[in-house]
Amino acid sequence: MKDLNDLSQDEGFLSEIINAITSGIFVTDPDHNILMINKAGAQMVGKRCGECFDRKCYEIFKTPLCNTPNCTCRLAMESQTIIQGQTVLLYNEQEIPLEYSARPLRNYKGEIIGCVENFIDITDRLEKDKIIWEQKERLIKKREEDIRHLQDEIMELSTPVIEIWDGILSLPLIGTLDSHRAKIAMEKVLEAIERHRASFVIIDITGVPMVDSEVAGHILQTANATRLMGSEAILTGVGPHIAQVIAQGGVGLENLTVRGRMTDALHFAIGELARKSEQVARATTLVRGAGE
Amino acid sequence: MQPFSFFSLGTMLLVSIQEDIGDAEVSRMFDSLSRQVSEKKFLGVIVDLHNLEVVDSYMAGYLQDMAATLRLLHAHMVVVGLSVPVVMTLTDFGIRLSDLEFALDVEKAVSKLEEKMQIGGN
Repeated sequence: MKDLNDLSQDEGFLSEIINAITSGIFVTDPDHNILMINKAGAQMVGKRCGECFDRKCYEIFKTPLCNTPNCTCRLAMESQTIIQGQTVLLYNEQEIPLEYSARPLRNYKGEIIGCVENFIDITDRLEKDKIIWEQKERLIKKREEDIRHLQDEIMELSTPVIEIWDGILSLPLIGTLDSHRAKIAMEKVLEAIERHRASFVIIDITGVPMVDSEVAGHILQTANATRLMGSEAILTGVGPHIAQVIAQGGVGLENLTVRGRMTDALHFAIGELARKSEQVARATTLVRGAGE
Repeated sequence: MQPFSFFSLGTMLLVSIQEDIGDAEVSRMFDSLSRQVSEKKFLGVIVDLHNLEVVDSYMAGYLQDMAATLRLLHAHMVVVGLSVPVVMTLTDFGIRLSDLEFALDVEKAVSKLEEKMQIGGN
């Protein structure tokens, strides 16, 4: 136990300790007069401790909470609990983010005689948080990009367009066909038709396990688009189930050529091509014969 | 200058349409085309659309009408030169153009028409 004589000495020592603390601390009475403030607290608003005594706390510190029913000290004293939170300090036309906590101060009888408020400048912490957040954001973005890239890659792999004969393309579709994939496949086929000047496109759907009316619609759409390009689509690998779905879909099948297997389709296409070139040759001979 | 031109290829007529053809001009071309086919007895008409960047439903409707009219005048019509974006757009809008014949290029259109004429006994 300390002697009463040591008190003054202790008071000096205590204030040394309080001044050494890097966060701001001040004590107010119930009328918001500052009874005590430490160095760090006064420095935050560019003042010395002596300038702050016996002045209202809301004159020294200006925050959006001051002089409102939400005043932290008032809340702490009224509710008799610790109030914590974040706010901004307006000083020199700048906003300094603060984290504060206010605790009611009692005398030896247990009556509330004021409030102790301490606060800390969290600018650095917020900045660090922001950097971490940005880094996280960047990482997520990059990962999303990677995933999208991979998806595109898979999409590319899953819709190969192969020229299997002069002027004959094949599009073996494997796996489930959603509208996104169907669209990509269609675009790739059309581009390949333009590039190779292909007269026939064999669409093989042996590897498509599930066909509902929507997927059937996509396949028929691709066939029709092929026709608009001036090429002819041959559908192969249609199973009994898929045939039923397409038939029940009620979509026009008048422009659709169907063969059982890829081989049959290839036979048909090559035969057609041969027939056409023969015809062209015959026409040329006819023209030549007429010319001579 | 009119945004379309006609080229006679013996029994066939090649119609080339420029990019910026307007609705009124499409209708004018249609009239002029039917007259030519009727007067000069063309048996096939090739409509080349490779200069077009957009084929809207109006144009699509006109092409259908044109094909039907030409059929009544005893001529076949083949459309060539639809680009990939045009076909994608038409497909997206559900325009099927199922009454029309298409070919990859003019050369293939010519052989297609020749085939049809042989079947037709000409």
